[in-house]
Amino acid sequence: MADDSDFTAYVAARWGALVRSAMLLGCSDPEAEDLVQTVLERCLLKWSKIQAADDRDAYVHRVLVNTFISSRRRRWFGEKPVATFADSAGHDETAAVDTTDAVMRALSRLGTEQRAAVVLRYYAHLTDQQAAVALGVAVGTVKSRLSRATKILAEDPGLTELRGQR
Amino acid sequence: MTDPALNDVLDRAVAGKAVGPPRIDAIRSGAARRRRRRTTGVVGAAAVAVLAVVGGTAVFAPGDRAPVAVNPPVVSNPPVVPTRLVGVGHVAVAVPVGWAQNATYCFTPQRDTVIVNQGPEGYCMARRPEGVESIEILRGKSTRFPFRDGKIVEIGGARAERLPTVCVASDSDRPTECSATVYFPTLDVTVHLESTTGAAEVDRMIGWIVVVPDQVGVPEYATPVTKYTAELTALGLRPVVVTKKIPRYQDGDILDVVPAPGVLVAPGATVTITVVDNS
Repeated sequence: MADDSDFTAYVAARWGALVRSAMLLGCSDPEAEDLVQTVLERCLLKWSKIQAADDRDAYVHRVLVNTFISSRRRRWFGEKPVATFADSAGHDETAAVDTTDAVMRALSRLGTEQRAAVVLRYYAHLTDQQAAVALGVAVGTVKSRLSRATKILAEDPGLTELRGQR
Repeated sequence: MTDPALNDVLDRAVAGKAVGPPRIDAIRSGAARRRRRRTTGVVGAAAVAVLAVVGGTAVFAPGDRAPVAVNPPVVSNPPVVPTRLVGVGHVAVAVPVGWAQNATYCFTPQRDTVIVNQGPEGYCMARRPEGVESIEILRGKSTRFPFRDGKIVEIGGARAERLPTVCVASDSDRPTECSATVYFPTLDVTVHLESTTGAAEVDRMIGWIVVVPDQVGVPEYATPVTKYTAELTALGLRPVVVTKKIPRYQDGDILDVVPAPGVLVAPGATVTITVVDNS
């Protein structure tokens, strides 16, 4: 069993970002929380190893990407039963829906590997080296995936509009 | 598209998404469920390997039923300094890299050390210095320790019998020695921890023990070599015996094992045993 307090602190700090990373990878909102729960269960089993690793974020994101890809291959998303439903903050989502829709549409034009590289590098803010560890590929491979992906995204008309709105 | 622009649109795309609170309790219980499944898998795989090797004869001791965990799991608490894993079978200990291996004199540790395959030594009442910690990892259930008094705990997802930490004060100028022992029935490995610093140090070192289902620690030597090769095979390793002529040595003596006992390797790895054969 891993060090509980350290693990709890890590989950508290990263839960939101990991769930949103899962959404950007292609999970629906409920799927994203279930996926991250599965990821963190797996990480808890090896927490002492992760603590000793040079970069725990890279390790956890590696588990996240692998679990996501695996769930898509199996076409089973590991829905988790919960005792109580978390209260939703009740955001007014109408303003954000266009942004989300445009970004998700643009990301869906990417391959799974390119999309994972973009999410890790530009949303999770991993370095190229960390993303390489998380994806299990060379740094050069990460750079080439990002290069191709950003080119596709740059040509996406929906994202072009968004960039002008800020 | 520039890096800052991409950062910005991705952040905006999910910034408004409602995310529930961290499911920490569900994660803990899910991990415990996975740990139970994984332990069963390791034991099952070991049993299959044993059956394949010895033709249907189980080598686990007949009375070794897996105990039921009734105490809270032992919290993993590896040292804060850089560590290396030393193990036997599927049990390992994360010891500080500065620790020696088998640094004993007359079976008595002389500095912080992990002990695997101690080898022959004479007994000479050597003095153990103060502030010295040692961890001994043994294949099987050592009869040196009174496991009747053990309590059942869970360490690294595996059930274990843990003898309480006891301290023995010497009436001479020798420092007080504290020790505890843990035995994993399903993995058939004993870990014995000693300290002349104090009982708290022993308890702390128990948190260094980990179960490594995807690695195998090369066990200590056993003779005859056929027994050792059977043990290695049962652990999923591939023993290769090479012979060497050394006239003054007895036939069958084990000269060397590579990788050395205590080293963790992948399942299926080759372990080369050099044995004396003067015939």
